[in-house]
Amino acid sequence: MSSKTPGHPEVSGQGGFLNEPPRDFTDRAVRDEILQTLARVRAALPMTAIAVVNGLPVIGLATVEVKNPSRLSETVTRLGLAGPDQVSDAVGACCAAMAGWGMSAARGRCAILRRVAEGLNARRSDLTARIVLEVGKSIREADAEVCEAIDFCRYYAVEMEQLAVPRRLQRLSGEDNYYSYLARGTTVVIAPWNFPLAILCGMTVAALVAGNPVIMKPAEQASGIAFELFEIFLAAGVPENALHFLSGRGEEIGAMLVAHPQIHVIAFTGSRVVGLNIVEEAAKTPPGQRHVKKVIAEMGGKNAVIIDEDADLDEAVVGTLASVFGFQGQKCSALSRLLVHRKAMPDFLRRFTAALMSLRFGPADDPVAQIGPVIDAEAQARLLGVIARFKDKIVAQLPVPPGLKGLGHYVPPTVFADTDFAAELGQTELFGPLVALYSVDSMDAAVRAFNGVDYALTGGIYSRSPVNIERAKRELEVGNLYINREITGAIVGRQPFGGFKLSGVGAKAGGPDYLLQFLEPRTISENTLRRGFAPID
Amino acid sequence: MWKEDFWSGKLMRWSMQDADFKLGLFRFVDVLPSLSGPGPVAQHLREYLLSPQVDFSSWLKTGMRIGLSNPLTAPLVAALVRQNVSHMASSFIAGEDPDSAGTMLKKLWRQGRGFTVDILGEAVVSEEEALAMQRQYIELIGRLSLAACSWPASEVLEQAPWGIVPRVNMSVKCSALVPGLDGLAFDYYVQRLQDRLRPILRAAVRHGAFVNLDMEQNDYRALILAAAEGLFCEQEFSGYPHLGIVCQAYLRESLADLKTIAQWQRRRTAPLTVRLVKGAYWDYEVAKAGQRGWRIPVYTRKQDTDVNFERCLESLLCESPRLITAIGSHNVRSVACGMALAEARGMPPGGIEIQMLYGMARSFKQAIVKMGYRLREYAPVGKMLPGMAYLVRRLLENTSNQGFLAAVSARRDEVEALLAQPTGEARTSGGPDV
Repeated sequence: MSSKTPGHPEVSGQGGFLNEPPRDFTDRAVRDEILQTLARVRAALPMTAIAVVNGLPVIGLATVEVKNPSRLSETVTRLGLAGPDQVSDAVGACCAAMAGWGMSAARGRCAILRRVAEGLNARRSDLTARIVLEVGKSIREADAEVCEAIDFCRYYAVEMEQLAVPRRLQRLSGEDNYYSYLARGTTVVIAPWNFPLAILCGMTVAALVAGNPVIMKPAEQASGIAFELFEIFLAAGVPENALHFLSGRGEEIGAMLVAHPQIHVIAFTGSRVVGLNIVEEAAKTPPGQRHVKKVIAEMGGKNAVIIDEDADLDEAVVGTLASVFGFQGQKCSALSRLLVHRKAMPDFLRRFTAALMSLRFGPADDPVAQIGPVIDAEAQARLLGVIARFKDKIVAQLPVPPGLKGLGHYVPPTVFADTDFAAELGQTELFGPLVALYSVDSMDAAVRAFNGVDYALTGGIYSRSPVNIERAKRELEVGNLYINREITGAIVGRQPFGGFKLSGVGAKAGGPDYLLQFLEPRTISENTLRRGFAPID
Repeated sequence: MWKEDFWSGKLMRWSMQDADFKLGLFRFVDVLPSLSGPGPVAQHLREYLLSPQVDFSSWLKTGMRIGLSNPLTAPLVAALVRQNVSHMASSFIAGEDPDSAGTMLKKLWRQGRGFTVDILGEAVVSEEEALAMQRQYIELIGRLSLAACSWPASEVLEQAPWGIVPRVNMSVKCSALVPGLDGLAFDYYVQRLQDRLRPILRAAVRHGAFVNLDMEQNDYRALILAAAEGLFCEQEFSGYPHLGIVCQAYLRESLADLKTIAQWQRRRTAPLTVRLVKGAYWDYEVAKAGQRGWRIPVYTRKQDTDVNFERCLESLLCESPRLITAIGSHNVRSVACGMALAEARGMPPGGIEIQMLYGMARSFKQAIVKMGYRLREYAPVGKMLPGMAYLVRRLLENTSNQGFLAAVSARRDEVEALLAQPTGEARTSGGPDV
């Protein structure tokens, strides 16, 4: 084991990539710094997010105010609403940029990505603070998200360096066959609010490093942090015509971009409904479009964990609690179904609910808080509606303290118990601090229930039976399967992230196949025999 | 083939020779208490110890396989194995509850050995469980104090240069008192720990008992030290002489920690005991640091821990009598070094104490008692289910090819080698970061 500092290029996994370490908050200096930064950023709110095309901010757009979900009295971001003109300007600029950026040397683009990573690292606490304030994520999770964004930059830079080297296919005298990649073309990145920095960063840098000009379309609830990222990209050397920022309403400019005939790639992370709609729209080939659009869509999950009869409950309770309620369940990887073996149920239920009742509510910027707000009023209303609809199935609920009600969008974390796997509770992605418990009699029943949903994103099993673990590895239909650990917190390069069935179209982020989606492969075959004379190989 | 001692001895030896067997055995032992009957026990035995990649004595493996495949004998095999593991567990666990523990501890006392009790329990994940643990600690202090009243007097165990040494001694796990300890909310958790510990300390004061705060994984170290500093310096406790804390010599920061402790101890009017150990979470710390990409907080070579242990001994003994040294080790060289250093300072044997784990190093313990030193056994009390985590750690220690006891049994004729002064990177006099 090395004693070198992390980030040292010699001590590495593949090709010099090392994950950025999370911060050690037991260090008083680290703690003080993040809290001071939070105070400073808060005092300087609101952030602004304006549309920028070709390096020029678009003036005169209508703006909307977004509130801090933890403290509604604070305006956290003011964002400009881009419209059709900005869309056509941006797409036009991207097409013009394609020749330059698309043909540029990969080495240069990779260097830019590494500078982005440095830029993110230099503003580590600042970006953490902005995520906390804009989307209500805890300090620790926000710090991990900044690490993830840094990781995407470094990881994809390493991957692109390898992909940029043309591959010679077979060695034949007189015939040279080379396999290489071209950029696909203008890419629109439609990002979610729940990982407002990391996912936006990952999709954008993947597209950019492959040589594609990009239009960033962040989520309305998280445009402030998105704009900070955009500025970091430009400062790192991304040409102004190769990257554009369009803040605004998804149903307006998002839809326009998806339908635009000069968009080649759509990278989307968000809800199933919007994702499938994009897949449908993008399949069309209107006149003037000479290509078929490529869609990469990561959509959502109804993720389950099996608690086996011999599970270590000490680990299972802690791991599942974090997987359900981390960031108030607002992750596509979040756990929402617990399939507990009949024999383990009494102890598991008792300890899990007791652990839930010990969690503390609070605004996300409070280091003591373990449960924060949900993203906005719409989510809060929707989730409260679900809780009301299934109130006879509630077995435990952590109430919102009276002092917090109305201060922000707080929703009481709730545990349901049900027997009907096919009911809404067991099938629909709720995206909140809610979980449904089911009792299962056997591994057979558990596997059936586990796979019996439209989604296949994350899932796990807590078991100490090698046979059941092997079976889980073979039969559980999810893109990210976790054994005896929590099912959230995928790390770039270690747990490439993504699912199948209705959870997604496209390869896994932070994995070796991701960049291929942004590239067009080409084979060049040259006859090198002239008058029977071939070069020596 | 089914005699208890034969089984334990053979299991230990195979564990040292075969990594797959060791892994299979420890995982089996870990899951055993949560299995509800002979059926699941047999199934797990098959899965863990009879799989193709686990290779141990083939006649035993065949015998087990035959026994387990027959539905009549399978429950018998399962029951025998369970019995054997329980027997192994009972040699490391002093009792299931306060009463059976009391009996065992009295027996120890009669043999000239003191104790410190640790309550084995499941991980505490809720306030409910934490409060139950707090009650258990308080109850145990009371019950053991009552039981120990009737024990005969023992000069070596009860008299020290600074005064009386209590009969009843508790080792408290802070992680069992407050769930979810997190350095991010540092001051908050320090206060919660202090609030939870205060009633336990008060119970100790009422009964004149000793309370020691154990050190656990490195993530909690700063929290526990800060909680101890604040609490022990409170007026109510700053004059109470029967309090202790632990220092783990496998940590690079240990010497710095000792200096910090010595510093705040100056604000108190009674001595503080520091139990110096090497550390029991090495594998965990190395794995966690690797996964996080953090610098590894422990020495990665055993000799460096040994060297640091002796450096810490010197530093600690310098602080006598404000700090009382308790040497927690089974390593004869380490213990002898401590004894020699203390003697060189003109301290009587009663000026330090030696602490060892219940169930290990029997012959060394006897020797130490004969030499007239105060010996204290770290005695876990609790049921087998939560006891398994503890047992697996002990098994890991006992089968570690680097453990001193293993070295002794393997190389009886190389006494000099075993007692030689350790050399390693920590030897130079300089900051702890060497």
